[in-house]
Amino acid sequence: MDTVFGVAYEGGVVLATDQTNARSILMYQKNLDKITQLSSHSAMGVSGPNSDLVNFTEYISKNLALYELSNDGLKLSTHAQANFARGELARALRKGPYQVNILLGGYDESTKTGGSLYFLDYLASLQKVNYGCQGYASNFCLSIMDREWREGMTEEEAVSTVENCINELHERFLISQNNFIIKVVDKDGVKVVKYGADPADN
Amino acid sequence: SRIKRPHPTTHNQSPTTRERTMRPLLIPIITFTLFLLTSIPFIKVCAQQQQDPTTMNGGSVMAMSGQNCVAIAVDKRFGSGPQMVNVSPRHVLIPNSRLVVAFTGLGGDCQSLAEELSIFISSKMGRASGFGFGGGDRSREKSISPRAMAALTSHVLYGRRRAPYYVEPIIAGLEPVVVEEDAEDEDDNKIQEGGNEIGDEGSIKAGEELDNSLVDAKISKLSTKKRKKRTKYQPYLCTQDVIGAKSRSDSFVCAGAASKSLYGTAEAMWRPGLKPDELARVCGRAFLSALERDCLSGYGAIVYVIIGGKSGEIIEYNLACRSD
Repeated sequence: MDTVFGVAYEGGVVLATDQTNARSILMYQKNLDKITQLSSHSAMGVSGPNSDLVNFTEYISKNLALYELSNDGLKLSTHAQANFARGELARALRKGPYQVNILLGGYDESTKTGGSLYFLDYLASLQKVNYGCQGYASNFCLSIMDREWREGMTEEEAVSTVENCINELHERFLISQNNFIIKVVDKDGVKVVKYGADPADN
Repeated sequence: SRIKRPHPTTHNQSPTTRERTMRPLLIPIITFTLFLLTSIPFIKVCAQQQQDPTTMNGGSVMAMSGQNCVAIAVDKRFGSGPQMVNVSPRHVLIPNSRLVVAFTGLGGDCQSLAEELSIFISSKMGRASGFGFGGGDRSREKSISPRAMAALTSHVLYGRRRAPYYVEPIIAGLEPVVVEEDAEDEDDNKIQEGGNEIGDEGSIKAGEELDNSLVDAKISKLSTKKRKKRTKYQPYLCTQDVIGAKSRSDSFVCAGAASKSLYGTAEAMWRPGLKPDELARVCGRAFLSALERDCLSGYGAIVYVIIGGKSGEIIEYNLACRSD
């Protein structure tokens, strides 16, 4: 039911998710923030049951913070963080799987384009991608991204691609997802570009 | 219901009587078993279609042997059921320049198995193997052989017999075989005729192991007879199922979503004694023909050709095909 998008551009990554928190036929809240910040320059957009979402993201982000503290401030690259998350998903897969589908985006100065985006599904497969969708949205929006993504995009173009995808969902997707939150990860860190409903209003 | 008396000449219950007593129960039984079958619990996460885990992410691999060379072809598709998610070459393990291991099946398990094998290789072969990621100190030549690699992979896979990795690996490489050969020398023939008798100390008997202590003694008695040990490399192909059952072949092996088609095209196009460039062409063509018809594999292929010689060499070919 959840929707997660990600588009990597020259200098960072755009992540967007819907803001609905629902189970079965009941909607609990419309202003949930499903993009959690993992470290200073990376964030993870997650889809799945709220319990696994919170459990897994807290586990990964706190372990990354612990690594930094234990190793004299050494920060892990996005590639390393994604592989760490994959390893934890793989370890839990045959014991008690986390049913989360993730798009992990981060900024590293050392990589050529700066922004890198990783697609992780609940069966612990990791793929480095230029753009991706999780959930039903992939049926509607992957083709829009196929058409609009190009090498060397700017942040404005990436955000406009994400907004086109959101408009398509509003037009054709059966499940009503009014609110979307869009965040950008670039050299200045993680910042919120737009939200449908303020996550702080609780 | 009407009671029918059994026919006096038959001892068994008449079939029509049994049918009549069963018929009222038949429909509920059918619906109940159908209900049971459909309600068997599966991991259900929205939008994920439940399929055979080995073909859910798609992908195919094929390996072929030639004359002192081996080719292994991998495709590039990673999907979630019918939907393509990413196009990037399948991860292959290249521990040394004469061995390539490719994995097909569930994507996450392929990555987990590749990591586990890299750790095993690095712990057993030490730094010389470059921790299983290539590089390392080649001059020491302490590298894992394809046969050992296949045994290791089989062991790891069977270790998870109760909750298997849904991976079908293919191990392709050049197996070192130590061969005793006579050096080509005209005088040899004369000596060899008289040289196979017991007690003849001037010759080395066929099949006898070269013990260091004996060699010195014998070499001093030898005149022109030369016999040397040479390491020859023979193609080694092996594919395994999800619990590590090895399936070897001298010609070709296939695995993955398109494996049935691949066996067909490989059977049609392979012939023995292929040279490296011919082998690359034959392997590539057989691979792509099957791939283009399979919806779960494709989007291009990479063919690794392992060539024998003093130190092995791996040539990589990047092939394009239908992107759908």
